[in-house]
Amino acid sequence: MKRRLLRISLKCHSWLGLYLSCITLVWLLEMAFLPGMYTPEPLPAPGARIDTSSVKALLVALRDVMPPGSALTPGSVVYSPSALTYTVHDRQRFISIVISENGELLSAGQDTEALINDKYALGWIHPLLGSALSLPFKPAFIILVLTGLPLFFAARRRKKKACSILPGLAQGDAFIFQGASSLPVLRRLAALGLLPGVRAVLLRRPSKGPLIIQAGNTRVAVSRRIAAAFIFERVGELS
Amino acid sequence: MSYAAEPIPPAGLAEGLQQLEQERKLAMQTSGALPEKLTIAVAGQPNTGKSTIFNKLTGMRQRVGNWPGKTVERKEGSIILGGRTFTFVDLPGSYALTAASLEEEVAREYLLSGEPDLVLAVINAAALESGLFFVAELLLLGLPLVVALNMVDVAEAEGRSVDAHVLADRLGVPVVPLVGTKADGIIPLKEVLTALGCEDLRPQPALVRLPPPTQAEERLALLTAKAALPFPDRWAACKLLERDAAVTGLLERRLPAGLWKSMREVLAAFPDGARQIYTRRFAWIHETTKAAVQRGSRRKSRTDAWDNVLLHPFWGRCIAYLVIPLGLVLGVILGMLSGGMVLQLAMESAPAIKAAWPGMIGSLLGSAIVPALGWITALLAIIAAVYAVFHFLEDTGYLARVSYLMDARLGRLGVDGKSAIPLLMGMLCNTVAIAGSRIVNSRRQRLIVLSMLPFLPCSGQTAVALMFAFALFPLHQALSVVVCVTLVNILLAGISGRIINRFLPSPEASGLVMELPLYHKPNFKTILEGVRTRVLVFLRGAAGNILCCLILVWAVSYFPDGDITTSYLYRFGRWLEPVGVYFGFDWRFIVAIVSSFFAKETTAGTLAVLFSVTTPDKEAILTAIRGAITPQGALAFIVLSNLYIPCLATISVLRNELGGWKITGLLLAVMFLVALLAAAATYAVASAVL
Repeated sequence: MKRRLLRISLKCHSWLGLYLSCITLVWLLEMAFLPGMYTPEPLPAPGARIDTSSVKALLVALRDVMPPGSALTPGSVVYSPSALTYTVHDRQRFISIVISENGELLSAGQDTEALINDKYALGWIHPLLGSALSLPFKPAFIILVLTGLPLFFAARRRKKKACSILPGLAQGDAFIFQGASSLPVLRRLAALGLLPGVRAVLLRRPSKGPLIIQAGNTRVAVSRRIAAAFIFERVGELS
Repeated sequence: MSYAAEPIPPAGLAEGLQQLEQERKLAMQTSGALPEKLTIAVAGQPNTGKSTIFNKLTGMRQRVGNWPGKTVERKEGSIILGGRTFTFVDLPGSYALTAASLEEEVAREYLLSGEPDLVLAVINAAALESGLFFVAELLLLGLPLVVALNMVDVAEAEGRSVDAHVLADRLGVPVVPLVGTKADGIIPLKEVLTALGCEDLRPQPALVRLPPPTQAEERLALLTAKAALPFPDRWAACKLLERDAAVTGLLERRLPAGLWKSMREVLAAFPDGARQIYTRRFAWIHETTKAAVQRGSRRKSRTDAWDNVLLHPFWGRCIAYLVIPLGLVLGVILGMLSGGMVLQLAMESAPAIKAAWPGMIGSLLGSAIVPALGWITALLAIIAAVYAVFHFLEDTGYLARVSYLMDARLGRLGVDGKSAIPLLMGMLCNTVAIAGSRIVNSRRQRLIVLSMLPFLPCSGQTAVALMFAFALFPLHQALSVVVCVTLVNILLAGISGRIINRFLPSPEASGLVMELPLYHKPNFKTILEGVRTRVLVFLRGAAGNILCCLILVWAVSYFPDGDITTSYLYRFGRWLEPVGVYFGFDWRFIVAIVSSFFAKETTAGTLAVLFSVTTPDKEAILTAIRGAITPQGALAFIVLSNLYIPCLATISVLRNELGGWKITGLLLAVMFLVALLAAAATYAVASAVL
């Protein structure tokens, strides 16, 4: 049960980590490129006078000061008491216009935050795609934490295996090769220069995947399963 | 397996001629006269520069074919040196002669056939130990031998200096140090070949020093000597102790029962016989290298420095996942830039041709032959460029690292990292990849790889998908479409591999055992030669199919009245048209898909033929194609084209490798069904979403 939980945790951790890394990478790239892809239409210059007596009057005045050929479809007007400003957001064209309380147009430009929020996770290809990819983002973090806990505690409890099998040796350790588990494997190794009696060095020992052994000047990649069945004699680490 | 040295009555003309040739050679050897024509087998392990030396020796005078009854490529070439004709036969690269793979089997059969007068063994001076293992195997065969000690410069860069004279003295055969990549690198070898005497061609040269035999070998050799076998006794003894299945089976069938029983008793008495042989051989190799190799200060190897980056568990994989697709894309772009221009010219000239020769001749030239030549040129350019990139990566030694990096991932499909190479080749050409699957050691893994390969889109399919995507979709969507469809192909290939892995019996102890060659500068001549071979194979095979297919498509779309709306093709297409409703395209697209059975590259050409019969020029053809299909239908078409059953050439090679029509037919039926379902699903989903 415990092993199964660890195996499931490891798998979830790997895949969710990969998903989160990819989405984050895509998001970073989109932050760089999306503003360039959605350039806003001409906007009113700062300094224009806007009637701020009411929200309706504000919107009408704003429409009047828009340059010819540009349209505005305001989605919301937000008042900031601390900054004493009104901010008009157009979510369709990703524009935000900031107007001071006394009616002066302070700035008008691309609403990058809204653009990124709307189009990230490949939403610029299709909204459905963006939604599908971004939906699991927050739940993924929660699952990552939950699956990470058993892995963390299991790693602390795991003891180092005795160096009785080749994958248990450290990178750089030398050994004398004596034999292999089966004759076909021994034949293949012999043809590559790994003969009984040869002094070899464990060049690379990644956390998973094949090992790399150097015998003479020949480097041989050997799967962990085959390497675990090697018969060898350790001769200590290389200086 | 045949060992032609035995005096048996000739079964046919070929065997009779072979026997006469052997008698002639024997007569010449005993008379002291050197033959006017000599056949030299060029043997060696992979990554020893054997191909470079062979290409340098034979130049453009090579003939490429297949070994009889096998799907292994055979290359031979002749030159005249010192008034004699030397014919070099390039044997497949093999690590030993135990017939663990088809290449080793082919090499061994040829060496024992009696045809070669001499063996030229190419070994890598930088990896002398494994080369001497191979030389020991050759010495046991008793054949006249010359050793080409190649890559001497690489050995020196690694801090090792090999004394060829000492090595020649220890082995008892001529040893020629070479740097095969240099312009005049093989002159010493040519000098040695020119100076060959009769004594050098005598079987089992007296001076040869073999590794000392073990007790088991001696006892078995005594028994094999009684059997008067057509190959050396000690070699047969070694193979028996190594449990070589082919030799064991052969001896069991041919030997008298009593003699075979004695041999089995010896084998039972020495269960560890093979290990003892290898221990003796190691001692022999160790003494030889100790005498012949001088080690300088061990400089930090460039290979180590490069491997620190390229084999990094994270960055190494990132680089591999970037380099391979980018390499393929680069090849496609280079090909499109060169061959694409010729294709454009061919398409633009079609209306002028039809105007100059009105009627059937003009239609045949303008609608079939000239476009076919344009398509062939474009595809040739793409295939040549992609293969150049692939050979470049292989020649530098990087491709083996890709296999290493992919081993962990591919393990989930039940195959090891070596399978990465034929799977990558499948993205170039399925036919070549299926033949290349022989490097996969076990039959089980080979079956898995063979079931995956047809799902992978070859360069022809990718080229067709790219052409259609750019023609039918806006620019910023076209590449995404092709990438997504290719990913679907790869996913289906993975699923196929997993299913086959589940249903096949549990694997025997197998896993990756593979040499990682040292990095070295690529030899562009070798790369060009490799590309030239692939291009020739394409011209001989697929190119002819494309031309014939387009002519056939033209003919059935022209006859009987010269009007497409009353042609045989129209009637066939209309009959199939109800099927097209599920995919969103009309009978012309269905016919184009069906024609891809002959060669994938014909799909686009067939459509161009069908649309060009009523429209004058290239732009009009493209406009007509765009007008005849919706974006949803175009997407379904690309999916169907990519997943459709492989071309005729691939099917025939697949059948050879799978060993029968039953399993091949089953695989093709599944592919066909999957292609139709995937295309229909794509059309349905795209219609709902877009």
